[in-house]
Amino acid sequence: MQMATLSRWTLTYFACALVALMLALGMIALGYGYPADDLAAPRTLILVHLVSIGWLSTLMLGALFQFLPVLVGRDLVGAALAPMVLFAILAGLACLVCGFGSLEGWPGTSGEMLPVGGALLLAGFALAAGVLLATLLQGVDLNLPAGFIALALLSLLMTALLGETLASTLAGLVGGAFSVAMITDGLPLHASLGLGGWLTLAAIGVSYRLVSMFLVAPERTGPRPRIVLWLACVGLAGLCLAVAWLLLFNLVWWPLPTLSGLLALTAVAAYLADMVALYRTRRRASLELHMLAAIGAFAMLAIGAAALIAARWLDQDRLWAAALYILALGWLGGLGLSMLYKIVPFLTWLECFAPLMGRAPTPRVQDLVREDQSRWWFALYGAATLAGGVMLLTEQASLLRLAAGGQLVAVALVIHQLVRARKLANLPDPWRNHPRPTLLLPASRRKATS
Amino acid sequence: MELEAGIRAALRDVIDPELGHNIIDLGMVYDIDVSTGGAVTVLMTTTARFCPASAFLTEAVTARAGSVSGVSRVDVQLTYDPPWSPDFMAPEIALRF
Repeated sequence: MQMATLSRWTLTYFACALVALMLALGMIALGYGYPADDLAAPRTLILVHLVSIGWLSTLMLGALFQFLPVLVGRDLVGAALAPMVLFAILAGLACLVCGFGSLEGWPGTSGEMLPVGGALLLAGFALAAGVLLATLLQGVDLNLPAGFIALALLSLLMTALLGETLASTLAGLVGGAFSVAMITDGLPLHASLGLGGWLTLAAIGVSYRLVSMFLVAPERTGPRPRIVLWLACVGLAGLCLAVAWLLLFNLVWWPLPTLSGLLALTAVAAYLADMVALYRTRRRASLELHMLAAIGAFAMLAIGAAALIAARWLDQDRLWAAALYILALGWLGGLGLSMLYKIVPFLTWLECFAPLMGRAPTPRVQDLVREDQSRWWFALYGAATLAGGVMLLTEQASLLRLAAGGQLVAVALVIHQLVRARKLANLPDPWRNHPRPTLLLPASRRKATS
Repeated sequence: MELEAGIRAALRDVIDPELGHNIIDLGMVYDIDVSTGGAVTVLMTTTARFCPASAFLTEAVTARAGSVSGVSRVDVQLTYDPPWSPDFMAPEIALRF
């Protein structure tokens, strides 16, 4: 019988991701980037990549290293590569940030750091995609969520390739009409592939299984989830064709990404209908906090998608900024934070108490966290994120800083709860003195299976 | 029958960590077969296939069933045919769920 093992490096990925999120929110709270700077200014791009790579991509990869084996019933192929992937991504991100900084005149930096960072990121993401795709292809059960994750990984590779090309262009290594086309038309494709193809498709794939599991609801079957997958597949193909067109002819044939956008919006609507159906058919009457918080993230996806339509229609920077803020920090970030609130205690429970099952009384996973306190922090995060989006829309720079400050406080308090869960600090008396696990790395390499 | 009842009672001490109820009332134990000589085969499932907790659950079942007087050997087999469904829960658990 195939069973999944514990991913040794997942908690380290989560910790790095949360540090990047805190950094990004702190910088927004200090007034860094848009709207004080242009939407495509280096300072804004530093923020965008701290969120998209440092926070969201690191979080997603850490989660997939743990979750994909559970999904397909196969141990992670090349699990030992996980620390190398993390190092390449963090080093690449640091170089990229310094490269953008060089465009702002940061001392000790140079433009060449942009393509070096892009190459490191490409190497890290390619390694991660290789590990995950190899695991997926050797899986026992190639199900619908696995299909989404396969598409997401292909998008990740495309995003990283396009990103490296953009980085080389910004560094001046590529010139002529190609560089102009890359900056004007390549950037939206890079963002669409990263935010839509990679991060959103991975989140959709993971959530189809996890939401069903956590709500104890029957898995979604029938045509609708398959329609979502096919729409995503054709939409992604359209984006890839648009990239090929750009590389061949130095311009984007806009019907292609427009068609992809329409297909993506239809897919999002069908996906959200499936999530509503899961909540309605759940057997678990009272919602745990992470599933309550996830409702906010799904709502942010709907709001962000509507804002994207408005942004495409009116083509105003403030609309693009608000839509991307809501999608990155509300939908993807909100879902990520809510799932962390479940996954970290679950991994901690597995490490500390699973071996005692049947031999001694054990706490429940839910006993490791304090939902009564944490629900306020999740509420603050959701409200502050929505407020941040509205402030971007209305160009209220100082109120945006206040909203980001609220998000920062909320994230810090959620992190505090996660640390307490790792330290077993919330457990009732019988288990309070149980040996604690290390904060970031599982204590042993013990295989969690027979 | 008496030994099987004793094993079922012992397995009520094994709590699914996520759902917070014992595996008997959750309907995760499909069959308990007791052979002459006290050799026991437990056919069970888990709420999620390939879950990292699965091995710990089978170890717990082996330990609890093995602690029942008269049991000489325990073999735990995991199956996902049929997969676990909330419909398998005892009605009183389903009401409190």
